Amino acid sequence: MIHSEYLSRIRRRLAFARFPLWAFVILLTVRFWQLQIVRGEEFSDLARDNYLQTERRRAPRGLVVDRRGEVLARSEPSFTLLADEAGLGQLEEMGLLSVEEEDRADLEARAARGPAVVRSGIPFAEAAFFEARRRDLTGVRVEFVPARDYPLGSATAHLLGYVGEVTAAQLLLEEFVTAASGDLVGQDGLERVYNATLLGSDGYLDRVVDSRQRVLVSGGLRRTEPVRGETLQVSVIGALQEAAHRAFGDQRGAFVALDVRTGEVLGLGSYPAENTEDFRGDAGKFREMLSDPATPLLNRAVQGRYPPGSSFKLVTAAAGLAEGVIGPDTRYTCNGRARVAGRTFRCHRAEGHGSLSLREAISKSCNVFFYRLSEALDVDVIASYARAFGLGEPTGVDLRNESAGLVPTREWKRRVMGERWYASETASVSVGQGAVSVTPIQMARLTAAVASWGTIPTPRFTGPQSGEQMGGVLPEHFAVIRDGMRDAVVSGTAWRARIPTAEVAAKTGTAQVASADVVAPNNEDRPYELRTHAWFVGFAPFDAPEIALAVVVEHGGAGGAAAAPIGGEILRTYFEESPEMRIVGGGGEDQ
Amino acid sequence: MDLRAREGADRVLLVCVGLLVLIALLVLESALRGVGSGAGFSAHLIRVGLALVVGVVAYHMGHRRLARLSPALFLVALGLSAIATTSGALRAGTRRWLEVGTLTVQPGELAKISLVLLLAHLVARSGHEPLSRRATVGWIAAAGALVLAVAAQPDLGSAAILVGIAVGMGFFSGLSISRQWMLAGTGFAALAVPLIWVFGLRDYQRLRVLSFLNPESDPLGAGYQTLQASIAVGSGGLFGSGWLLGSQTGLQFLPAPHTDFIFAVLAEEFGFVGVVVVLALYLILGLRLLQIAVEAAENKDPAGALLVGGFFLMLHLQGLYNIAMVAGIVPIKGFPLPFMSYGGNSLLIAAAAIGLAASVSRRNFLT
Repeated sequence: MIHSEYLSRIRRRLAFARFPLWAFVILLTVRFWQLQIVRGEEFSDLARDNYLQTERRRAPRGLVVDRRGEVLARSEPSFTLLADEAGLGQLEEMGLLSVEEEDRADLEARAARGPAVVRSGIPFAEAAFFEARRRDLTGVRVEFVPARDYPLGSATAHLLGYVGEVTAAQLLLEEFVTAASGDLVGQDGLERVYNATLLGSDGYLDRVVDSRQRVLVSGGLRRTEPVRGETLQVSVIGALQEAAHRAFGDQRGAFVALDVRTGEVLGLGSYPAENTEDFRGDAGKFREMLSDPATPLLNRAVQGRYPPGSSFKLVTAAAGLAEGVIGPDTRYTCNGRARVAGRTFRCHRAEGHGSLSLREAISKSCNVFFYRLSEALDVDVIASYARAFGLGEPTGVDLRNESAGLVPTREWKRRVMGERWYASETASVSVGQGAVSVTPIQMARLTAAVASWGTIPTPRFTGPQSGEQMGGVLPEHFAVIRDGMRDAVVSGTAWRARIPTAEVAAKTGTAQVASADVVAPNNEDRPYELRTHAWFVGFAPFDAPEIALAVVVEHGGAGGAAAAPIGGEILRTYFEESPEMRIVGGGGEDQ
Repeated sequence: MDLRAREGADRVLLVCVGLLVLIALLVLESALRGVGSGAGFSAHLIRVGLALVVGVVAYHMGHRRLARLSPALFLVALGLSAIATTSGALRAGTRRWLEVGTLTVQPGELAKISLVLLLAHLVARSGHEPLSRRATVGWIAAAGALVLAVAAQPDLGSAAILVGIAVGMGFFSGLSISRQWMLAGTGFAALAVPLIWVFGLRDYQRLRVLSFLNPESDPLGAGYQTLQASIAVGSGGLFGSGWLLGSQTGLQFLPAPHTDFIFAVLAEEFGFVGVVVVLALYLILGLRLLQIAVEAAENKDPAGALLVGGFFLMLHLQGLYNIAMVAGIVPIKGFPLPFMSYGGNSLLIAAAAIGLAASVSRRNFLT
């Protein structure tokens, strides 16, 4: 009895074990149903992600060519090292990751979104080194990425800008909505503005790989060819860029040359300029430039704000004539100084210019004539003409971050300084001093307006634009001013801009950055930052103007001595170049 | 009832095991294509043949004759486990293997069957009565020592299986609930000792647990295995990718496809249908083993009943855990799927167990 009690307990317990067995098998069946039937598609996609590797074949960016088809920017074969998050760790482990601390955060942020550029422009041997270690460096790869090359180097630096990998912050911008991490996009200049045009469309190549990233099948799968971006033809003349670059040497400053007839930009430069190719994969160099006191990254041609000095007299003269305050024959006497509203102003010629007309005052750049004229002009009237000439607002050129400059008015002073306007300040403004500030491109546009009898052009790198006729200033008024400018080159302050091939009309300016009363009278004796800015604005040929030009040499001294020779050199180059490029819209109508 | 018809070997056992081994050959052919040196299909065939011999020998030997050897066998297993712990071949940070010439002996496998045999032997010695207090203490001491030796290798997976066998057989043997608590407590304490010894989990174990909890978090780390197994299983769908056509298996994204993850290969290439067939075979096999054990108890053969019940625990705890691991519902543990995984140790032990179970089955109808 005990025996059978004992045995039946064993029997019951063994029989009971069937229930947990059934339960586990049912549980597992349900789980496999869930994995294979319910989530089957999802895991099939993941399986495909495992073995199907899509290689992106980078499309080269489009060429940038100048007016004559000379190449300004092209894409050269180059190898780039990319890594994703895991890849960064692998490189680090092998001691191959040399990134400065400051760049690390951005690199890691970019790598988190997909393979990011670690270094570009790596030599072939290094590319082969990484390619041979594909199995260990599964998160790292070498891509053939066409790198940007600028044949004219720093001569076109600010104009073209540069390309760089899209940053983590830029990926959020509308502008780069089509870009993916690792893409090279225009970061500044025309490369940025015309990024969409220049960007090609990448090709793709599917490959079957195993878990060690060995390629098993590479043919017969999806394959699309990369398509090079469109060629962008711009209106500039490469030779002009180079001539200006040479003429500036190591001086700081900027120049802008416009086609008087179409508003097309014939040349634009800012100095100092660095070859932007050097930015490729060298964030250290880039940072160095950001902190350089000479601000090589600033595009002075459109962003630099300078007092215009005597080049502003063109505006004051137009205001005086158009308002009927003076006529062509009105004469004032200069004895070297003038007292306006209780303040004494000096002319640059201490012994005075004697009695002179407006035409003579422009050619000799007499200050006293304009001080006298300013007594009959309100600052708001001068301001309205300055604005009519396009000062105080961006010109609308196709470059980013253009400055507006400043045209002071009574209202402006009250608003900003909380003070009323003093009559002596009008005298300063009349000769381009005081609060007036302009950009070189604004001055080039103003000069083009004078050259074309009042047509305000819209500066553009891509194709002709129709200008806008300004009101108020009549042709006979322009005639006086233009004659004065011609005289300035023939016998006046701008004689150094004389060239044999065309008749040049110009105006110089020597803009004070500090009151002459508080600094050494001799410019050379002042500290560099307190020396005067040298201006030259001019156009040619006098009878049928083609090119209008503004040159500023930062702290360069007198306009006639420092800026006029550069202006002359640029004009000489323009007229020595083959005539066909001087035809209106010559090859510039590409867009 | 036609006794003569049942006089031969148990057909349900043979058919289930035979089908599992045949399906395994098919799956292994695919799994082994991506695996490198040392793992050949013909080597496995030789082991299958060897396993057949072992099974036949065990069948004819019968469990009563073997039971007398079980204390000695147990001591051998305990000794080998201890040797492996101190001087076994170091693989992946653990010492679970003894290398004898070209042979690799896994004492953990031997430990499992020797524990089953020993406990069945103790029950046989106590006659047709429940285990005495002394026998119970002996049992607990024996199981605890073996668990400790295996856990220290460290092979926590096998140690846990041993605890499961000891507790399960305690339950089958009719131990009272309080004694069973003692048994379970000792087992788990023995499991915990090496843990405390190394101040908590080892790195790879910690990683495995963490990766099990969130496999997507670290796709190239430890969670890689779980994730790749799930991808293999899930992408199989209803009918599978077809034999030799699984990308996870063929392109070696799946880890250990011929050993620990062989069920994932099956799931990928033969789909849900293949999974259900194999699960059904394991279910029928388990039900049949329990049935044999129940019949042995009815035939007043408590030792045979405990023996077969112990084999059921040994094969199914391990087998169902392995499948659950492939299904991603338990952490990854490195032990094979009985009858299917590549490798000799597990196969020979399983063959011996089935041979002995068949012998118990035959005796049920002879007495």
